[in-house]
Parts: sequence; C-alpha cells; structure tokens
Amino acid sequence: MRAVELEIFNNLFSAIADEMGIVLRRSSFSPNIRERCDFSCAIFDEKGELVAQASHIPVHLGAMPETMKNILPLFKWDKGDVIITNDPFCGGTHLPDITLIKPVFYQNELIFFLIVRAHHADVGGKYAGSMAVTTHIEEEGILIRPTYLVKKGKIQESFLKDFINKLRNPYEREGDLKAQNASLLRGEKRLIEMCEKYGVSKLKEISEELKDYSQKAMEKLLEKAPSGEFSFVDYLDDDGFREKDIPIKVKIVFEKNKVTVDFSESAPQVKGCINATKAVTHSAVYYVFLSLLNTIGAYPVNEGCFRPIKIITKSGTVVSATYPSAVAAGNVETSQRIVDVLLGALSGAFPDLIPSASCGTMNNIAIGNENFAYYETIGGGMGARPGKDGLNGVHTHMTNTLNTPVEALEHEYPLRIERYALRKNSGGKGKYRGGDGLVREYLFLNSCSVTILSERRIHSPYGLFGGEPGKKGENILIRGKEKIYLPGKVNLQVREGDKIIIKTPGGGGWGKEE
Amino acid sequence: MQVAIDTGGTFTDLVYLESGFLKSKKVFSTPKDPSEAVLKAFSQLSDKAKILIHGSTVGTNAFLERKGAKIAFITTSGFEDILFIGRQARPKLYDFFVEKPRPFVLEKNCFGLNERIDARGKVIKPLEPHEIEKVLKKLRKNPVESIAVCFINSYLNPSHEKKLKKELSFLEIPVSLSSEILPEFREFERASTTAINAYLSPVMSKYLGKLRDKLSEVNLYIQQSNGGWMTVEEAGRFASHTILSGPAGGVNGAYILAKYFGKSKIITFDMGGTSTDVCLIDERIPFTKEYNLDGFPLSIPVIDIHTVGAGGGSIAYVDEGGALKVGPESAGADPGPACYGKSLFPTVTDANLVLGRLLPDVFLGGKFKLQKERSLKALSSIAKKLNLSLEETALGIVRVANIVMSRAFRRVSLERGYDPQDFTLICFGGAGGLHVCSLSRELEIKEIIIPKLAGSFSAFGLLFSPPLKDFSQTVWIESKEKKKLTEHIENFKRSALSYVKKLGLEPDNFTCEIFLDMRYKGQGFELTIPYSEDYIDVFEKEHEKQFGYIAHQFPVEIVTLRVRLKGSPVENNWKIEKSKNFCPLFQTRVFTEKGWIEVPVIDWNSLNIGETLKGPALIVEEFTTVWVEENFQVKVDENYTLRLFKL
Repeated sequence: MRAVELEIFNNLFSAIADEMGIVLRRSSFSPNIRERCDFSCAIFDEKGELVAQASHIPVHLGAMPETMKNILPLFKWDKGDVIITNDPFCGGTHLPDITLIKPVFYQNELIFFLIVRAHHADVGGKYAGSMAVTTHIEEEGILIRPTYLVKKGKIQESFLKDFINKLRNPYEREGDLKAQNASLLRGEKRLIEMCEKYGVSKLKEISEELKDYSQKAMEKLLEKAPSGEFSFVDYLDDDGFREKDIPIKVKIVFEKNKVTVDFSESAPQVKGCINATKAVTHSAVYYVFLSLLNTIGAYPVNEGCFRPIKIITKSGTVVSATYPSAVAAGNVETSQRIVDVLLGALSGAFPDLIPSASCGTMNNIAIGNENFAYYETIGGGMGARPGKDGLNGVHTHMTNTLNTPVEALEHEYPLRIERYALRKNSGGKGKYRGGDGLVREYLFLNSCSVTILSERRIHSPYGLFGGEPGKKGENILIRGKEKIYLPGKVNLQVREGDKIIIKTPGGGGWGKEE
Repeated sequence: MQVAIDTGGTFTDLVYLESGFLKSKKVFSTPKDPSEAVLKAFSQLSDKAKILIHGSTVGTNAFLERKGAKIAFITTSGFEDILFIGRQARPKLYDFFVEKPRPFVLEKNCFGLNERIDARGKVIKPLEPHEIEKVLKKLRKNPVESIAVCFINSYLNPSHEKKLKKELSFLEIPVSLSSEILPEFREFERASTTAINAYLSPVMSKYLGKLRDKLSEVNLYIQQSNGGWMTVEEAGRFASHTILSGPAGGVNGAYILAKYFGKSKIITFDMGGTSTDVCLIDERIPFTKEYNLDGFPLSIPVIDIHTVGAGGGSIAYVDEGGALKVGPESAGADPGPACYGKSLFPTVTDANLVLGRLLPDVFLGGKFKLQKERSLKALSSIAKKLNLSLEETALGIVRVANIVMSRAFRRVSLERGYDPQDFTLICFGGAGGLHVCSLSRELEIKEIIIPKLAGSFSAFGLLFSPPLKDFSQTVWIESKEKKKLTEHIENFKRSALSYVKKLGLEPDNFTCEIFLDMRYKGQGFELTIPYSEDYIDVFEKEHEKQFGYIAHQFPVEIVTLRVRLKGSPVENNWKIEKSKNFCPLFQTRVFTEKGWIEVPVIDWNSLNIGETLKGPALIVEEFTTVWVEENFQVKVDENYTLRLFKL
C-alpha cells in the first residue's frame, strides 16, 4: 500500500506546513507578512533534510535547505529551543528575512525541525525598511548570527530587548516574532500528534519514502531533456554604483537522469547590494526545476527533488557572495536574473515548456521616516509562454507577494496612491504577447526617505524564438513642475508634495508575430 | 402553508409541512430555465401555499459560466484596471502556464473619474458634472445593462457614489454602489464584490420577475448566502447575496437537526459528486467575509463552508512517481463514474461499488442499475500499475479520498483552535454515508447523526430559515473609546431597523446581533467577535484560541461594525412518516482492511424508532447508503434519524 500511504502522509505533512503559514499570516503585524505573504514554513527531518513545505515564497523555500545545512551542526539541540538568525552568509537570504528554527522532540528523541522565515518591515540599518543601496552588510541592518531566541523554553529577554530596541518599530517586530513563534508551536503540536498516532518509526520510514518518490519524479523529468550542454548569459543593469552590465552566466549539462548547473563564469561580487548568497542561487535553480516538474504532475517538494540536481557556484561571485558584501537586493533582484538566465539556457532543452523573460525585477520601494517604515514590491509583465500570452500586472518567478490595498496604505501612512494601473503595450510583441507591466504613482504627504531597488531599466526582458523584448522599466520623480528620471537603484529624500512614478517592465514575447 | 424549493444540479427539491408531517417532492432540474422545474414541483402541491422560500443557483451558475450582464465599472481615475490586477499575485507558484481568473468585465467598459476622497473621508477633489458627462457620453455610445461604482475611500464617505447614482438614474438600469454593497476598506475586494453584484443583478431580477409573475398569489422569498431569506426586490438588488444559497440551506438544516437532538457543537459533512462541503458550528452558524467566487473575492457575509475537490465522481490515477491520487478532476454527473455506463473513469463511486459498499441494484431505489463490471474494468489499469488486487486498489482510492476530505475537516476545526473530538458529525448529501465512519475514526469524532431526509436536506433547511439582513461599516475605532463605539452602534442599529421596515418586514419581530471585527493595531486580519460588555477580553481569548498568543500590552482596534437583523422562522415542529419498505433484508460481502466480510443489508424504512444495531452493516434508502463499520453502534432515533456511536 505504499502508493496510498505516500499520498496520505504527503497530505498530512503539507497540511501542517500550511497551518503554520495560516497562524503566522493572520496574527502577524508587518504588512510584508500579513498582506503580502512574504514568508515561508517548512518541516525538516533530524538529518536536516526537507520533508515538506507550504507553497509560499519560492526565494525562501529553496534557500531553507541551505540554512538547515549551515545551522544544524552549530548547536546542541534541546527541547524548547528556538534559534533565530538572519545571517545571509549562513544560509540566509537578506537581513529583513528573519528565520526561526525549532527542534521537535518526541519522548526525548529529536525527530524534526521546523523553520519559519518571514520578511520583517525593518531590521535597522541606515535606511528605513532595511532595503537600501549600500556597500556593506553592517550598513544594511542588524546582522543576527544564529543564536538562541528561546533556550529550553525560556525567552532570552536580554537578547530580544537589545535587538528590538535598535529598530524603528520595536512593537511591530516583537509582534511579528510572537507570530512566528506561535506558528512554530502550532507545527510542533501537530507533529507530536502525528507521532502519537502513527509512531516515530513509521514517520521516519515514510519521510524517506516521500523523498525517494519525489526524487524518482524529478529524474523522470530530467530524462526527458536531450543530453548535452546548454548555456546562456544575461546582465544585471548595475550595482547602484559604478559597476554596469554585470554578467550572470550559466552552463547546464544534462546526463541521463541528472543535471549539473554551473555558474562559475558569473561576475565577481560587486560593491553595491545586488550580491546574491549561495542560498538564493540555489532557490532560483530549484524554483525553475520545480516548475518544470509541475508539468508532469503535482509532487511533494522535499529533499528528493534536489538530489538529481548539482549546483556549482564559485565563492566570491555575484551568485555566491561572501561577508561583508551587501546583499539586500541579491534576494529580490539578482534571484530574478538568475531565473532568466536558467530559462534562457533551458529553452534549448525544453522549447515547449519555457516562457520568455518576465519583468525580471521586484521593483522594490522602501519608504519611511522617524515615524514609520514601509516596504513594498510591484509586479510586472509575465513573459509569453509557448501557446499562451503572458499575464499582465503580476508577480513572477521568485516572488508572489500580494499588493497592499491602497486604502490600507493610505489609512496607515502619510502617502497617497494616485495611480495603480496596467502599463499598456509594455509587453513584447510576438506570436504570443508578453504581459504588460504596472504603473504605481506615490504622492508624499510628509517628507520621507525613499529607496528604490529595481532592475531591467537598462537591459530589457528578452523574447524567445523571435518574440520581441518587453519594455524596460522607469522610475520618475515629480517635484513641482520638474520631471526627473531616477536611476534603477537610488536612495533619496522626498518632500511633502513630491511624487514618484514607477513603471515596471513588460514581459518578453514568444515566437515571431504573424 | 409554507413551502421551500431548492434548485440543485440534478434535482429540484420541494419540502413542506402538512399537518405536522414533513413531505417532499423531487423533480429533475431544468438547467436551461430553472424556473420550469420550480413551477413543476410547485404545481404538484394539492394545497395552496402562501409562502415560498426559494434557494436558487441562478446567480452562481451565471457567474461560473460568465453569462451575467454586460456591465460598466466606474472608479476613481487611475484605478480603472483594479479588477484585472487584483492582488497582483498569481494563483499558482510553480507553474509557468498559470492563468488569472477569467474576467467578467470588458477592459473598455472600465472608466475612471477625476475625483478623490482621502483616507479620513475628506473630499480633496470634488466630482464635477463634466466628469459625469464624460462617462455618460461613453455609455450612450456603448450602452450597458448594469453599472458598478467603486471610488477609492468611498467606504468612509459615500457622497460621490451617491451623486453619481443620482445622475445615472435616468438610464433606468441597475446601479450597484460599493458604499451600499460593502462599506468596508480594501478597494479590490469591495470593487470585486460590487462588480459581481452588478453583473448578476439583471439576471437575477429577470429570473425572479418571471417566477413572481407565474406565482403571483404566493409571497416569494429568496435564500441568501448568509443562511436567511430576503424579499424578491432585495434579492434582485443584492444578487451577489444569493450565491451559495443551496449549501447554506444544508447547513441551516444541520443546525436545526442538531438543536433537535440538543447538540450545539457540530461539523456538517456534505459529500456530493465533485466536491465536499464542511462547516463547523459552535453554538452559532459561522460566517466568513473572505469568500472567493471562481477567483474573485465576494466579501459579503457567507456561511463559512470549506469545500474540497473530492466527491463520488472524483477520478483516481497513478502519477509518475508511483503515488495514488484522487481528484480534483471529476467525472461529474455526466458522463459520471464508469459504473454509470458512459465513461471509463475510475472514480470513488466505482471504488465503493467494487468494495461491495454500494449495491448496484438498490441505487436510486433500483431505478438506475449500476454496472459493476465497468467499475472493475476502470480500476484494473490502476491495479496493474500499483501491483495490487482490484479490491486493494479500491480500498486505496477510498482511503486517499478520505484523507483529502479530512483535510477540509482539519481546516475548519484544528486550524482554528477547535478539537473535532468535541463535535458531532452531521452527514447529509448522497455520497457521505459511505465514508462517514472512517472519517470520524480519522478525526476521533465519537458520534454521527444522519437524517432520514438526507436527499432533500437543503430544502429542509430553507423551510426553517429566518429572514435575515446583514449590515456592515468600517469605522476605525480604538477599542478603549467605548462611548464612541456605543454611539456608533446605536446609530447603526437604528438605520438598519428602518431599512428593514422599508422592505415591508416587521422589525419588531427581529432580533439584533452586533459583531465587531477587531485586531491588534497593526495586524492585517480581523477576528469577528460578538459584541458584549467585555468585548476586548473576548477578542483576546479568541485570538489566543486561534493563534496561540495574547499581546496584552498591544492596543486593540475595531475596524468594522456589523449588525445582523434576524426574524423568526416558522415553528419547527415536524415529524416524518414511516415509508414503505423497498428492499428485503439480505446478506452481502464487503471488502475491508481485514478482507471480505459478511454484512447484512438493512432497509432504512424497515427500522423502528428506538431500535439499535451493531456494525458492520449497510443501511440503504432510495438516495443514501450508510456503510456502518464494525465497532459502530447504530441507534434509530426520532424521525428515523440514525445516530452512530463509536464503540
């Protein structure tokens, strides 16, 4: 009855990860978490291998195995511990993503780990929102090396107070951490109930089988690719400083039911904050292969999916940055370009399954002053698909965060949104059209500091098989009668009455227009 | 005499009370013009009915098939595209070929007007006549059948929407204002709800108009998704409120039945052909304001029913990794499961037939013979892939279907801080009886109630549902501003009562329930709390129950105020007559985890009140089969209701 049990336990495990997400989302305080669902929950086994995850944000989920691998050996795990970290160089993504890890014991035996990662609206640093154009990790915010938030059931008050008091909104941070912890407790409760019902040995056995099952499915997919080598290169616009046209190169080699993805030829890490950590690069690779896997069925996402995929990155490059480089946008921007590069290469191997480049940026905007910190991302055009147009005004690939309702935003912050619309005709033409980007117009009712981190302002999203590229994005400041074009990455001070207009890129077209 | 008629996918059911006895009629539904079946059922009554409560799927179907009216959507300039952008997220993450929900408004019929109200409700850009003229010109050139209006921040100040409605009145088409349909914050949800209403209003009005012409001597009332009925005019104006009235009827039926047996904590289980509906009731019927209609938010109060894509017609298959899957694809009623004779889809119904739990000769009272050999054939390819026997395969299919359904139960219970063990399961709908024992084992529920009229349960629920009207308003009040809150409540109550009076109903007979949508300041989701003196404590207790923590030092805010006016339903004193036996007692074989076992087949109609029996047994009736597992005791209670207890 293995076939039946796989489906039963797959459902049981993923229901737990889902439930953790519900608890977190509905009781958290950061708009990033509650409105935009910028968080992820996952279950790992005692070896640190992924057993189940809820479908939240791809850029987190693929990175969590890396986190677990890094953190597992650092502690002697005890009942009632919770470890906290946001260290990008220890399997993290960027500083605002705070990760909590909890070991789950059953009758004194360590059996599982639970992880909850969530994007907090602010973790200190020079600029509100902790998403700014910087050059050093310590400027970006507070770096929490893996440490105890709770030790043997006791909250480490001195750490917590010390940490939150350095932030712009300690009340909100404390609320979010409470919500994250509540989510872990819920997950723990459910796993223990499962142990009681089915027994630990059964759960261990079935989680191994689930991994083998997903591995087998991934191998089936990889077998469908022609053996051989596929390469592609695309460029990041700039790093916010002097570096321009930063190449990311990939070489993908298929061999029977395995694949090697090699980024060694990519650019060295740069001064500005677009450096991606190794964990982020792994996320992008997993995202692409999991989406391909989806074309042959709905399989549980766990360690097994990753086994047939070998990823090579060179330490010190823009896809595997090291301390103390700035990484805030590596997670949100570079991750998208890594996906573009992977898709470009894979369009040779799976021509019927690969879309043209999507908007390729999350169009991050962080706004704040001494009273508040707010951060949001704006969707764009989706690349056209073989047989289908791309979707308009939507988040693609490594993110899927919701927008904040205009009425919620205006109620809480000194801002007015004057326009939120599709950017007509920004999608690339082709047999199938790329999706249109978005336009969002902010009017500031108070002076604020603003950071924009965006890409695809210089290099357009590419089309495939003769499709035209999507339109590039634009960032514009309106001050009185002046209209100032802003660079893709910028920190600036705005005054009352200033306006910022963000126009996001369209998706690339697919196939020649007839 | 009061009558209730529920239009379902296959049958249209009529239920009424005759000298204290509950009677029912069943006719085939007429999907092309549902009123035909309604009138046909009604004409079979010998006595004249005075009141007819009707649950209709006209609105839901028109939306699902995108056959609503041609509408215009008018909003603040700069926001014309909000219905297409939605929340800017894609419905599936790891899917390159994902689609957004199918739109129901044309892009060219969305208009933006130059006007603006700020986040405090202050007009900062007045709505000028020439702006209105601009849109009128376009509407004259390109006429529409219905209009939805949703201006930014109109939930705080409806003056611009009202002004526009007045100027549009000469067009003599329905105009839905967001400040009337849903005066709550979050523009996309409000716009979507308002547009759905505009889209369905003409269809609903037309349908109801026709019914009323044909049934001029009857007082016609329409069931709503909140579980109560409203007048025909009101249902036409607020067509979006008629969505889901069928399932709402079922839940109401379960609620009444539960009360009858002195139960206040129940979970309803309604398994149909393509999906399963589950609702948890703790004292009162719960409602949600986060209902999603085919991809679009419908944020009015809807009975909180959780649906999963597993039903009798769900199709089983083996995926490339070798796991057995069931659904969400369904064979539906047509072509239906393999045993219906039109397809070779291996479904859950086929699995039950192979296991001997569904009897080919007594299905629908023997009027429709199921073809077991087709089920065996359909399952054989799966059995081969899994290297299992046909019976083991069938058992696997049932187990997987059960786990999918149990996920719905978890959603409504455990995930919201309820323990299913404290609840009684109420099972109705055609297919549920075959799965209910194993589900209750999975969830550790000790008692199951299965009503005799399971086949027309939604209509039964309609018959005893009350008149009901919900009102809401976003207010943004700090929880400690008690005086401000009471003032708001009093005003709001008064205007709600006068509204109901204008509908020709008697507000004196109405009870008034008040709810507060509350949250810790800074959170993004509200908990709906019944208003009482200690509302802050109640909120915090509920917060702890659902999320596991209280934050005492954090400020609490009241986001939205809700008033629910509820009339009294007809007195529910009813009895069921004993029906004629239709099938003699015999023995059959059923496949279980222990292999094939001998099981008696018992005609439900042959059972007497007070009788008890022990599983394993199959209890059959025209529209339902109950598979009573071993270790369950059955007690036949009042009105031939089956009560199953776990031993």
